[in-house]
Amino acid sequence: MSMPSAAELTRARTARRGVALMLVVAGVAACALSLLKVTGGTVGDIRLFVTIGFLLLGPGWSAAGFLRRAPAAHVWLLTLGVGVATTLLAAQIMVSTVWWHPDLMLYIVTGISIPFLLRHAVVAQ
Amino acid sequence: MTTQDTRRDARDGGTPREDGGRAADAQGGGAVRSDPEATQVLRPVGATPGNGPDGTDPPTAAIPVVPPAAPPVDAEPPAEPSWFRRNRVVVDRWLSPALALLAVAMLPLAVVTTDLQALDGWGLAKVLGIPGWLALLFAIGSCLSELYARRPRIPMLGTATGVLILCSTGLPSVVEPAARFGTAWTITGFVDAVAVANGVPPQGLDARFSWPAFFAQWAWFRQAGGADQLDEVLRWFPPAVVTVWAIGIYALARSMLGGTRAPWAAAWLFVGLNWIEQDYFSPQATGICLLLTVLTFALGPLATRRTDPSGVPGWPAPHRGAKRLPLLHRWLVSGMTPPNRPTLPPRQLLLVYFCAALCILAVIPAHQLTPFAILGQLFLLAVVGRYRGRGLVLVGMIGVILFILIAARSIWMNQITLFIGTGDTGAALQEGVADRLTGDAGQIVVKYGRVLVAGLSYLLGIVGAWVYWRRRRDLVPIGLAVVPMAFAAQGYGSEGFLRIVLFGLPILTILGADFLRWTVRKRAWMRPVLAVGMVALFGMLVFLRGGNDSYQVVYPEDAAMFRSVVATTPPGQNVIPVSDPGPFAIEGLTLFGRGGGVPGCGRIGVSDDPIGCTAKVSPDVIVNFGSIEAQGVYLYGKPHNWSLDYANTLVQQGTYYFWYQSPDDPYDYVLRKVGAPVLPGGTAGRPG
Repeated sequence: MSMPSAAELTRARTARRGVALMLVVAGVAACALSLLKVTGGTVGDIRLFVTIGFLLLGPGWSAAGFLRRAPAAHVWLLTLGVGVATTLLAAQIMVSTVWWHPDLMLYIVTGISIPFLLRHAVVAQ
Repeated sequence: MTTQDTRRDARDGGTPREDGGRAADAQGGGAVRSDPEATQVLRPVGATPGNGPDGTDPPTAAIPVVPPAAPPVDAEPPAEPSWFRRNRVVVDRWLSPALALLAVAMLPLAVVTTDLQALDGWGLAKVLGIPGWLALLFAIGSCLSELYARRPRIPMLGTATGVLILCSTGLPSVVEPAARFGTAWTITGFVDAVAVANGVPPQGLDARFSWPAFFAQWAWFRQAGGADQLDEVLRWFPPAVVTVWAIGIYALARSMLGGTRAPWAAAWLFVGLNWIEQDYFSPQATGICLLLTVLTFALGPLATRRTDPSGVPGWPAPHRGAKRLPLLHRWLVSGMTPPNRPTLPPRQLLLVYFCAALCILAVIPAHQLTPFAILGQLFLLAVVGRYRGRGLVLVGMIGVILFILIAARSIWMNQITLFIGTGDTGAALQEGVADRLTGDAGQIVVKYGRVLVAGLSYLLGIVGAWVYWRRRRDLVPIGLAVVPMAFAAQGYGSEGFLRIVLFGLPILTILGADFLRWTVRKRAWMRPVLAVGMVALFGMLVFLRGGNDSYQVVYPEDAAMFRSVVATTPPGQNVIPVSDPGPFAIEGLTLFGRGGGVPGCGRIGVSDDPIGCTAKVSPDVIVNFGSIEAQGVYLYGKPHNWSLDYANTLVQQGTYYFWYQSPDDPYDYVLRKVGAPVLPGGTAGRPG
């Protein structure tokens, strides 16, 4: 397996920064739309897909962003795997503890993920 | 001559003879022969400048040098390069994106030209418009053209693979107006039940609620996203989740096979052989994502290296038949052998280990079988020492035991056979395979085709295992595909065999790709043959996956009709469908009875005595969809209009009346029992 060149690494870093920034924006947007209680119509659809996208990718990218010099496929697989796993466990915790607060859990996950995402936006591996 | 000798010569004023000889050879255009008998000392011909004191290279005794062969007098001038060779750079750069764009452009035309009303037992392939097939063809062309490019671009291959998935697995999502497959709609009903009950899964309704994490996850997404249904998510879930699976297969194949092209071939082979349709909105689809994540990292960053004498630090293996060393000597060798260290730094290893453990723990409350598939495969890898962090197996086992003992006591009390199995493999085989081979001619062909492709997958995997064994002396991968076969004895139900193929398919396809690479390396003419084979495979995929679409297709009107039933029916009434297909129970799962418990009347419409069953079950509301009519006709051999005849009979008896019948599809109807109360609320259809 050949090592990536310096130019390729630079491109990869730039892409990683971009993804991290987009996820920060998505997380903030999901929380803002939730606070504004936007529902129905096109904006409601956008809110749903932004929320799902952030919850599936945000926590995962927070973890996968720490991977160094890994192929893009590994990074994305870890992102999706950790994102799915985190949200499954968070949902199960809400069920098991009979503490069902979807909005609050969204804010918690966003609050935990965004510092890491900002870190990856600044210091891409 | 050694390097030291060369350096000594250079220091003493001499010239490094190996290098000088090579330089002369290169400049003089001489050919180098490897035949040892041809070794001779020659001086370069002509006044070639060299490193020697007189401007020529000194003679060499190390490298065999022969004078350049004189070109034949009557040699033909070199042929003009072909158009393809002259334009190779442009073709490599633009052909794949152009074909991918063409494929996507064909999709709207495919929607227009596909006549879903003409669906019959032969499924989607028969009614799919020419643009749909062209889209598939262009997508395959995009993939292959990039693969055969001189330097394949990973982003382009990824894009082409995404387009391929959209044009094959995702074709029903494109040409059909809503999510197909009734089970997907049932699961969205489960999500709805968790959401409306504020995260409390209903008890005693369905065994699947004992593993509620997936339903709770999507109920959370739905409520956090401010939506009241997930219809669009359902529709696009299969291509999205297969894309994630393809990423996993690619990453896994990168670790197992290496190379730049074979991993992509493995991903396409997986997509092409995945007729199993377990990628609908379901816990097992999510479970496969987690399984692939864990496997990829176990066989990738966490994998141990095979110690061999070449390249890897360590002591060489003893010669065959050599006398065994004394114990003390062996200890000494063992103590002095450098440890087999991981290539990743410890923090990176810990990160990967933590994430893998998270994935294993998350799948435990989400699905019954997937944790056992992951743990079984990890256990095998741990036994043969293939990855670091064998504690993952322990973490998983403790998680499973704790979940069963604490979180899911009802499973332990009532459904222990789900874990220990019934041991009746014959019954499972009968239910999972033989009982499914029914229907009209189209259905029979489709189902035998599925059995054939499943067999082909295993055959390909086994042949690939042989190639893998020849190359790496390793049989563990085929063992990973065999581990899920233990589910055959578990008595999971009719879908048990689908799960066996599903859990084994990733490894089988990667091994199959290894075999295909071997054939291409041996026989270059196999490339076009394999390209044609890929077209045939994906054509077969559309045929097999869409084979049940006559009774799996769902229209948004069907879902709207059922929602209006929920809105207008008082809680506590029995609401039942005439049969399985269609978007039934997508809402109000806990509000209404479902009329079960009468032997032989599970599906009243397709039972031996529908009218008698109706009398016994005595539902308050009967719901029928066009897909149920089609199921009766193409799967159970009933005459056309059977569901309308059934409804008309009930109406003529005076026990039921048409509350709703769609003006577009007469088989979409709702019957209500005479005298049963109805809440106020209207529908868009024609009242009966």
